[in-house]
Amino acid sequence: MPVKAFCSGIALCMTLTSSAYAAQSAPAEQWLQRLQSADAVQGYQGTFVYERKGAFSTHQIWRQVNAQGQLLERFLQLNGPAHEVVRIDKRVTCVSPTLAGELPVVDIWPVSLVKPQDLQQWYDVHELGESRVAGHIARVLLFSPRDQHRYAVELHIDQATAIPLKTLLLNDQGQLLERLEFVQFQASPSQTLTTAEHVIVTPSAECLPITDANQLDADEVSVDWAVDWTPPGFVLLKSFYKQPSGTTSGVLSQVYSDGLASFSVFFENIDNLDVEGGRRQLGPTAVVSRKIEQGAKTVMVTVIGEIPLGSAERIALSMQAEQEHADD
Amino acid sequence: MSQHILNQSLSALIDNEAEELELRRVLNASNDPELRATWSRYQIARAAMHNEPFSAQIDLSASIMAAIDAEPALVAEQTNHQVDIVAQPAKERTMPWLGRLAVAASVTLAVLGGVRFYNQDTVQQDAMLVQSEQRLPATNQSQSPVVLASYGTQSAPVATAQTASEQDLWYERRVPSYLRQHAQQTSVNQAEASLPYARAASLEGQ
Repeated sequence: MPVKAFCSGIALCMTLTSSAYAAQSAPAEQWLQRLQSADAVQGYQGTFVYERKGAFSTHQIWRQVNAQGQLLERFLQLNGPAHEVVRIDKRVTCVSPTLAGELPVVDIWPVSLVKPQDLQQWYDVHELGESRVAGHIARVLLFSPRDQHRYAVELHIDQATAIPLKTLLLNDQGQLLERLEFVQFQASPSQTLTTAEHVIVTPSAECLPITDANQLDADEVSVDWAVDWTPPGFVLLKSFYKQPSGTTSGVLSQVYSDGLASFSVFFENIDNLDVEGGRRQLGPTAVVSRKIEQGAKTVMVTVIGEIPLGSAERIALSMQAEQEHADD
Repeated sequence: MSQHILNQSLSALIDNEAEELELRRVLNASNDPELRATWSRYQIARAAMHNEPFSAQIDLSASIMAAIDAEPALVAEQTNHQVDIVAQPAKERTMPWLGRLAVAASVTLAVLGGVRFYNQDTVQQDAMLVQSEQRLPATNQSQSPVVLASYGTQSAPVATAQTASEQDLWYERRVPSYLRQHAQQTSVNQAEASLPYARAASLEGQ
């Protein structure tokens, strides 16, 4: 008798959870679609805090779609150095001198909007309920990874505009790796740009326009550097070759993304340098470097991304030493 | 002593269940390259099972032994204080050796404890979000100072100066540039640009 009760209990439980799951997955998908469509058109301004291990900073963001349909964005750090970045249609047009350094201009590729069903292949998307962020009612979406190669993301999305107001990155033990949270948020009532708003999105005099040089598509140079393994779901978005100032050899950069998380792989010749590989963990960002002998050449492969250190290590390890030379 | 018993002791040591006899057995055989390789393998397996970050390539022993050998203060004091033991040469010969063994044992324990502590520590640090960054150079055991591997760089300022070589220069020059580039690249792709931007800004001045 107790066994029978137990079995029926389990059956009931399974029925309930499966129906609950079915009811849950549909709105989650709708939220994903809203999230993506709002990103293209919604203007707003707000203040947010960013926190990760060893860092805490406050920032202001202005975001508008102008009369030509261009998306203008301006970021300004409010504490410490006044880091500033202005982007037009997601292309960086100017940065403050403190940030400038070697910040490269990356040719914009067609922003591949992730299909909800693709994302759900790698993440279990759940709607956790409601929360309140910066005085706005938000819906909470949890993206929990289906494997160990990515982190969980908790998004608090503004109910009215579908703009994420709070983003938490969590590791496999549920510990917080980084947090971005708006403390003040004001959505623009319309998509048109008024004169007053235009002044706000205009960069300050400190913001230096950036120019780019020595950048080539990877197809234009014959380098055959590649990693042999990437975690499932991560696709190559962009591959390009660049010669940083002050160096003789170029750097091949590749960007991979699964739609939510991403990592970059950098390949560089280090023939005359006596350096070994290494690894660092900077808050959520894993950095793994590995030296690989490739024929007569020595290549340093560096994997950087918001993925677990072990996965980054495995990606870096997957570049095998090969006999043939890389012609560059 | 058979290799099997030795491996069992090693396994117990890694699981933190070793008794004193087993610890001594492992320490006695610690110059055995085979044992060292096994130790490395067990650590990788353990790290993999517990899903912990662990650098299997850090072998501190060489630098620890070098540090002990290069310890001038102890030797000098011993010679000063043991003038009256000159008549007993046998004892004098054994004393530094014993002392060295004891130091080596305690350093080994400290390293083992440190590794354990490090792993627990990251968990706490991640939760607290306030600690400074960990830096783990992976394969420079030959010239690396003793404490650099599992502790913050600021804890060994003197030793770090010795290894401020091309390696560090390369990291200082390259990694920040790569990090910026990564943040920039991903912000183009991601629906939300604030996050990569804030990440990039937070890395400045590191």
